[in-house]
Amino acid sequence: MTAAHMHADSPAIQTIDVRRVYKSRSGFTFGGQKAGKSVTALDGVSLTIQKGELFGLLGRNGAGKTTLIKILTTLLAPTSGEAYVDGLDVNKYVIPIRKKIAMVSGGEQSGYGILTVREQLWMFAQFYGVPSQAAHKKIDQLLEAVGLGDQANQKVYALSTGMRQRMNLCRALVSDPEILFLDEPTVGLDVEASRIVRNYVRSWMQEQRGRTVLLTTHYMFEADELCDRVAIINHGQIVAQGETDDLKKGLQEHARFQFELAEWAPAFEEELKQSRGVVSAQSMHQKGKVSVQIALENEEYITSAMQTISSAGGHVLTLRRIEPTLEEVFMRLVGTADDEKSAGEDEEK
Amino acid sequence: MAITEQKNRNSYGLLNSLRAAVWLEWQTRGNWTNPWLFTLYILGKPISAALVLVFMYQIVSGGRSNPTILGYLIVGSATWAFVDTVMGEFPRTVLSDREEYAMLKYVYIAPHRFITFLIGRATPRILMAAVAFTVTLSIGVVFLKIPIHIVSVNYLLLLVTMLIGFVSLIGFGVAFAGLALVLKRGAWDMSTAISGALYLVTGAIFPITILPGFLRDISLVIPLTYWIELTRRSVLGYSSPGMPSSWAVTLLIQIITTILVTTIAVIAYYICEHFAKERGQLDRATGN
Ligand SMILES: Nc1ncnc2c1ncn2[C@@H]1O[C@H](COP(=O)(O)OP(=O)(O)O)[C@@H](O)[C@H]1O
Ligand SMILES: [Mg+2]
Repeated sequence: MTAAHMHADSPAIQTIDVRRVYKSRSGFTFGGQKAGKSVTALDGVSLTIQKGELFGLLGRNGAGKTTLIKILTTLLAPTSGEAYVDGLDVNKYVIPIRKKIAMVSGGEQSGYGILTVREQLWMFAQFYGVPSQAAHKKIDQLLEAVGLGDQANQKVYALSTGMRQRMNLCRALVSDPEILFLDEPTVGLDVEASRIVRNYVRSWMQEQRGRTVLLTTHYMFEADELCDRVAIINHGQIVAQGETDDLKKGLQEHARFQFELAEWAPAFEEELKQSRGVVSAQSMHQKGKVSVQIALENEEYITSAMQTISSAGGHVLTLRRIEPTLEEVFMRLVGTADDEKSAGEDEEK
Repeated sequence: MAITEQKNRNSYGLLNSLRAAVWLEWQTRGNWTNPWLFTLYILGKPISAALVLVFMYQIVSGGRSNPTILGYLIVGSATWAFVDTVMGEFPRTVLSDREEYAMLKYVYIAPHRFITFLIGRATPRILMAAVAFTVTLSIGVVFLKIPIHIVSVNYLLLLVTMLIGFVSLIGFGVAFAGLALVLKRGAWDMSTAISGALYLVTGAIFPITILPGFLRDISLVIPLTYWIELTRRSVLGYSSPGMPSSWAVTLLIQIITTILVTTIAVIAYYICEHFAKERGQLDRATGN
């Protein structure tokens, strides 16, 4: 809590080689876990997230996303390694960290059902020492912003899942956190509610400089849409991290292009393959057209490739660069869903 | 400048937090639309427990009941209302907030000590139990003629012993809350079992002199024993077998045992909390 630990320039979030192993000892556990089984949920995670970033942590169910969030929000102790929130060690500065953070997790029906939406938000404002009047003003603003203005005096139990989740977002924001943790915030929400949540997160970030969001998700488009930078986590390990565009580029060892030709030209495929800088070329007939995919060592070879085609008698109708999606990046790095059965299906049921 | 602001907000926050927890408890459990149902809810259990004891006693004594013994039973039983209502609230809060409302983790990561929140949640229960206590005693006086004379009650002693008693109840309660954090499903049974055992060894319904030696030793280190005794003494005016004859000595022992037990209980709570955080149990529902 001392000033020495609150550097203005410390990263919002930093983890160094964080490991987390869940053990279930026999004898003391009344739950349904098998005795002696241990799961390595995080296996040496090192991440640095700067203030002002909207950072995405992507991974399948059981990859370790929630575990990392729990460690950073002081809900769970790391087994080893170091974790800092705004330069403060999560093992030592629990209360100072809590003043700066808030969290929302998706896929649950949380809320004190008997309270009204306003009462529940007011109570949390109290926990954070926000004076009542300021709190009510803030609550009105937030509810309005997520489209819950009419629900302020409705009991929480009467809200739909989507409304509850939006209320939850307001609950997290009522204390004006510096760092916001969103753990799959749109899971189980309909399109409209998800859109409201995503839009509001984005505008909340823009409202004030220096606000930070760590968002976990397994929806790639969500990360693609929202995040400046992402990390991909698989079986407790970060397998890639960086700006989304860089990751996509990095995935492409070769520049990929797609042509459409008006008609078949003799032997152009063979000639293409001989041509300088071309790594591979494939053609196929499609509804009277010919489409060709080529991979080049470098995008500059595209001009010579085009020349090769025209000198072989081909007439290019369209040319398109093939951009990989984040989904592809993810699939490439993490593999298909079939490899995933062993990883923690027992959670969240 | 910014730092003082932060500090002010902090201390302000703790009090607010306590107040908000009290308010939440009142809203979630006291917010009954029907006042009759609410009264029944507060009074039902303590009064029926007292009456069951009285009937049993009257059957055993063949109808020639002794008002001194009746007084002993009624006051002990009325006092127990506090134990049931207040102490049990601690694990109940953990279980309901974790499993029914799924709010435990959000409350837990707010910048207060969770223990503050728990104490806040249990406080309104003291009020509810006080109503039950008074009504049970009144029934005893009016219908069973137990020897309580409103003018000769030692109200000051009653107040003091009650206040210290609440501290020890909170102590036990906090320890039970700790158990609830680590024991999951077992927590509720565990705290009912322990509070049942306390009922037997603290002299609530029979003098500790009839307990076997080792149980009596246990009862002598439990602050609740002296609290119930002093409550009886201030209301009825006489001491019970096996207790010091001086009220001052009894009070002193109550204070000392309360400090000891509460300190141990709070330490036990923090150990449990530490384990819960270590094992990742702070937000898992029972089923997992
Ligand atoms: N409290 C726990 N006890 C035992 N294993 C757990 C616990 N919480 C999570 N796990 C396991 O740790 C792994 C990571 O889980 P989690 O962090 O929830 O992943 P994600 O949020 O990415 O779905 C999973 O295999 C899960 O089953
Ligand atoms: Mg998760």
